[in-house]
Amino acid sequence: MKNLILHNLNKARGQFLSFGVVMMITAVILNCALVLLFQTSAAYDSLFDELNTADISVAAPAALSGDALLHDIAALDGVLDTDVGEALFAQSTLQDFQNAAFTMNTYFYRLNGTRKLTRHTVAGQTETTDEMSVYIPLYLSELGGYRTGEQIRYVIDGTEYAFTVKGIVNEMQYGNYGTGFIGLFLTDEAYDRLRTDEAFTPVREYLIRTEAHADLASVKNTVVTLFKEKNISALSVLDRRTTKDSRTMVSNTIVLFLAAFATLVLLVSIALSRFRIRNTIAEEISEMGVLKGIGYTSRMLKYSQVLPYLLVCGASLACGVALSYVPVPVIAHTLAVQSGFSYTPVFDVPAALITVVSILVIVFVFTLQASGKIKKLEPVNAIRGTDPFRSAVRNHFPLDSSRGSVRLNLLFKQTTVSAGRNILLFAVAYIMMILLAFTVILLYNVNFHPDNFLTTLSEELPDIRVQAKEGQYAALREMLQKENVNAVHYGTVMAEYTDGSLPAIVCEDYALLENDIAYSGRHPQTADEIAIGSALAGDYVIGDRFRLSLHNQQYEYTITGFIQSVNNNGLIAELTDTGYEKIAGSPLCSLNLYLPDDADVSLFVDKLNGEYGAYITSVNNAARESRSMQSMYSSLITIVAAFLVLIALLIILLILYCVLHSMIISLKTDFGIYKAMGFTSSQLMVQTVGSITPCIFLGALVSAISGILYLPVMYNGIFGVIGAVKNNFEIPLYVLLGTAVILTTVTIVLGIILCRPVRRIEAYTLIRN
Amino acid sequence: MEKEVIVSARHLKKVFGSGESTQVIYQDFNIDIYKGDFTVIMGASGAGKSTLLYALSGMDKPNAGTIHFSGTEITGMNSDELAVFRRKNCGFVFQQIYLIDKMSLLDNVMAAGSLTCQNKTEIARRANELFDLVHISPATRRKLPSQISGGEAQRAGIVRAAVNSPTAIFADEPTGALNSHNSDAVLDVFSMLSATGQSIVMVTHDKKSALRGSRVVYIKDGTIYGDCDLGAYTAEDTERTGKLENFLAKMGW
Repeated sequence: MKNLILHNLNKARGQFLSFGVVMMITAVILNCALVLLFQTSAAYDSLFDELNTADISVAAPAALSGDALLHDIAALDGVLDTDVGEALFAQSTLQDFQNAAFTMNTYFYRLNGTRKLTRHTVAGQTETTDEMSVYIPLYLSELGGYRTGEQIRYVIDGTEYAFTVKGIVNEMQYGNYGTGFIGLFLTDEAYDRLRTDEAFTPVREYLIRTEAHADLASVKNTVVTLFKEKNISALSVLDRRTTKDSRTMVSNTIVLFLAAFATLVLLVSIALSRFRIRNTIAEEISEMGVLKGIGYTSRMLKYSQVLPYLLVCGASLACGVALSYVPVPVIAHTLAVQSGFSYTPVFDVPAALITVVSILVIVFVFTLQASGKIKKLEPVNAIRGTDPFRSAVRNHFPLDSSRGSVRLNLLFKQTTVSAGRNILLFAVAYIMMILLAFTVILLYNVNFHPDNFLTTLSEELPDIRVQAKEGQYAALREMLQKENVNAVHYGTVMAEYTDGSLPAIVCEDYALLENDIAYSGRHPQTADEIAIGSALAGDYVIGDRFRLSLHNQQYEYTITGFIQSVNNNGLIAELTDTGYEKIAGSPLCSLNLYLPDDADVSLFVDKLNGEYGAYITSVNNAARESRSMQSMYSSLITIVAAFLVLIALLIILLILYCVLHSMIISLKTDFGIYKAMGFTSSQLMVQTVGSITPCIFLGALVSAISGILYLPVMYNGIFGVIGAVKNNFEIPLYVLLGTAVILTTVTIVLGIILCRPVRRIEAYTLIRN
Repeated sequence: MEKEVIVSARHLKKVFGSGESTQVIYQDFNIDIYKGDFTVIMGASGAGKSTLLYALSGMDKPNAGTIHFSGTEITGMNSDELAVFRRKNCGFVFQQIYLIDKMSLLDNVMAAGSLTCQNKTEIARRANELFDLVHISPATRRKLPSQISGGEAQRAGIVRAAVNSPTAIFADEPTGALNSHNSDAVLDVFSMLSATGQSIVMVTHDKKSALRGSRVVYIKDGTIYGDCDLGAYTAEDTERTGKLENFLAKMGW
């Protein structure tokens, strides 16, 4: 038995090696996904507890709240402990965030503030004498590229504030922008200076530790109700669960993507092993008959086929698990930074066990099932080479009467020989095409139609954003109209709703904008209408009333539609300028400018600063920011795409190796006959590769055409997680078809290379054998 | 009238194995094959008959010596050049027949025919003519090799060998795996082809098969031990039988 297993292993070592490499790739991807799934979450929870982060945290303007409120909260059911802290709130536009401006709802804390709940740690700092120093979260430092000792600039309410980055902080509430808020920590000097600045709203943050067995959601509801009763509009209401969900959303999506990818590769591996076993049975039917004849049982023969796969699979999975620890720290760091903290992954026993055991069991079950035929082989018939499972062979594509040349029909004849092989190739081509289609369409939109990508991730993308000085708005607009510039009244303001605050876009007419971010219903058109973000879609339907307030002036609008916003994780609203006036005393003085296509935006920005300086508070070159964003995403996506294409090609190469090697072995006699007739090696190589090409092309083609259906679902699934429910990606059929053709061409080239062993088959070998 | 030489082999040497296990099959071997002859190669088992046949036909390469086939030296050709050469010049009939089992008899023949002719209709016409000649019915031509008798399969094998009108057909014990009835049918086909002027070289150790030849070459100890001219085959010629028997007796058969 042992010898038989070793013999089987040795006989097809090249194919087992290929199978092993595919399994190893599967293990690397799956183990990466599991380690990240288990450890990112655990590391988050551990740091959350270590920093004694509050289970519930509610921030409200200090002017509206006081110490009495803290006592009321402490008296609520399920509340174990409370704390209160102070902060400054401002909607701040961060400059030079990857060369772009990024507006964020920002809490500015005092670094040396004394809080027993929701503490923070300083991860790294530098010495600076600058009074305006700030400690920023890892998220800003890593993603925005702000290093300690460098300057970080904000524009708040039209005024620029520059800080020196003194250090990096770890904090588990506002450490990334997943919650729609971010927290910065100022030195005492900086905090005291900003405290008196009117651009900043002083807030109180009520921190709550719930009792161990209390229901977090019901305690949160009780707290929110208390705030309503006290007529206090909260800026933000966070709880442990939703904060974690929103902060780890991107990380979880990528883990899911990796797991899905691993599953696809596993499916291909299983199909490959089943194909190989069935092929082996067909090829070695006589040998098996002899073995049965001399006393080997069906069980022994079955296991002699299955165990080599399990041995190779086990060894490959172990190597894969070990190898996965090369990319895991890099991916973990990237994802953790997205989540606003950092950790170092360690060897994960459960992840390794799940990876190895689950795949081994799956491979065992499927290979055992594939080898089931061995039991039904009768020794005498098997020795004679009679395959009881082989369906009656038909002479497909008769050469004298089929359309096309004899050579072409010879190729098609070879195609029809093995249904199993055709299904495997179709499946491989289909699955690999999914991966390639996803990648190519992403690349196409990022590089050739960047607007599609940017409008999916952003709100409106004007050429220039201008903030007019108070009282100068009308004059400025009039002058701009004379400059042949399309100016649209557009701005964003923070407003409060029932559960906190959200940015509200204010625009005179949404039909004048270039990026339609409404994915359901429509934009507001009258003063009484509002459109709200995807994050609120679960709680409201079109036609519902939605209350919004600003400085205690509130109004109930009618919801007309839902809009998307990646920057705000879907927590956003849209009002008309007349609607905005219902809650605000004075209109916004900001404009979006759209220049003619051939205009030089930088020149016009200079002109605005020069000629119209007296009318303008700030000018923002939004076109340049868009280009910077596009360049950043383009390089990032190109790297990811290259990686995905490489993996896809490697898998195709390995599968092709197994399939073609099996074909060459089983067709060795036929090749000898063909060569005796006068066929050259090149003709036979082309014929062999040509015979597998129709299935590959068909698989790729069907996948490409159905890509029109599945790609929007995939993109919406992935980008929807970060708030982009409506995807603006173009999915041109010709790009998909082109990709299918390229995939087929690459397969043909690889196939020709892999068919080189045909050259070694001599016609004379046939006779000598 | 002097016969035209189609294959001329000089100083051929063929060895198998190396070192102590080296086995010399033939050495300094010379032979000429003439156009229109039905040459039969005989000899004891292991004498190197088949090895010689495949060397002469460019299927195998000798270790030394030269072979000129229709005036072209083929010993220096590589595998693909030999394959292209064989298309026009050599047809093969094997003992194990070696039809491609997933193709009908007609398709087996057409696959070979496609190597020298691109016109599908023309290939089919030639194939069907030959099938008619070897008495394989149109219905049988559409069958797979697994669905017909050994004799029919071997006759189809001969059709495949002849479809490109090769300079010579090389047959390696074509009746070795057939019963007496099927053997006769196959030999009749060879005789028929020979009568049309087709050059045939056949290896056999069967006296009845050898009788169909016009020339019998006997190989022993790696050289031509005897060469007998039998003349053209006729079914009624009993003199040829005696001539062959005497020759083989002299050869120690």
